[in-house]
Amino acid sequence: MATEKSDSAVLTTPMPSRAELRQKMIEALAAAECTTPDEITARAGTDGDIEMDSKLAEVVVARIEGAFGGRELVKAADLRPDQLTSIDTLTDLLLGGLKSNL
Amino acid sequence: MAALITGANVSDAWLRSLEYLLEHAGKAVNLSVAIESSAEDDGVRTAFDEFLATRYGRQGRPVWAISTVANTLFPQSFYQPKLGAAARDHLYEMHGEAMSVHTRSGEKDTYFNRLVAWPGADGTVNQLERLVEQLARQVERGGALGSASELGFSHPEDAELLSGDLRVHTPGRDRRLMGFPCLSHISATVEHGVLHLTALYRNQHFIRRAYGNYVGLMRIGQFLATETGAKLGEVLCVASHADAEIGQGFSKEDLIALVEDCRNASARGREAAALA
Repeated sequence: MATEKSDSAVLTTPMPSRAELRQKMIEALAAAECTTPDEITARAGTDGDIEMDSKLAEVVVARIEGAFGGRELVKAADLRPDQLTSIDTLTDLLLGGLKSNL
Repeated sequence: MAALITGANVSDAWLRSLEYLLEHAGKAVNLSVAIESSAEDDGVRTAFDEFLATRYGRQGRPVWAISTVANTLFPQSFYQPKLGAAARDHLYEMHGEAMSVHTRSGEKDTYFNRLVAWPGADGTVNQLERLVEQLARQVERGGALGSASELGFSHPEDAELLSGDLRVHTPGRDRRLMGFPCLSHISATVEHGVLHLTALYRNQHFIRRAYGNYVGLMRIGQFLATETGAKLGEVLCVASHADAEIGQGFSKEDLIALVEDCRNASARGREAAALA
């Protein structure tokens, strides 16, 4: 994983799979809530998605973006509180941003 | 003119206030709402959440949920009391990280940011931390009344500050008649180990904001109480101008129906609790 800011227009780190990105988000969320990834995962609904507070989602975005060279992966227009409500929703936004940077 | 509404909890206070406004053409000057407990009536909260979820504001965007409004005052998910002495640092750290993303949404400041990063002359001031330290000393000293009456426009760096005040409005920076910040000031008073808050809103929207404001204020109060060893008492919210927002996306009939739905939901909840 890249931890240094890259000046190139294209990300040089490998594109994570959806499952890999989701796991990193769960770990970031667990750290923010001072709990374990297993406890976060245990909250999943019947659809497998995990709801989260929009403020925690902002922290997750910050940490994931930091892990990918500090690039803004989520567009400003997608940062409305009603959009930052679950792991799956946020995964879609971040994956979209990562693909745009490839 | 001035009116005092007292509510046993957040939901009760908000509902009584809305009923008062609807009885007075939807607006009031100097509406004071005293909230005795941070508890909520689940029925009222659910009914109102469902009402808001169907509403849209400017540019077709959804009206903010109660939780979103409350988070602008105090992001509860960042506060982990289980961390003990490290809880406050964790709160501030999480807030800093979130703000680095939040400001991209177009909203450059929030009420909570003004509490922990108030724009002082020599850099930002964490008013909340200063207040915790000040109130903790007052709680430890005990006594009949741990603070004087609020100072109307006190500066958070004023060394002569006697009462606990949290300032939101920034002179010279906030010039708009309407809009952020509608919340001007929060005053904290300790009496015999019980902490009371008074918040002053220059303008308060009772559909889009007030319920969430109350939840947020209670969170601030509980945070201060927990961190200082006090017990949370009453939270008084004064709105210089209170507005039920009739004609601003909500008809009077909508709001009358909302009040009825909330009252019915509350009654059903009490009946269910009585049968349990």
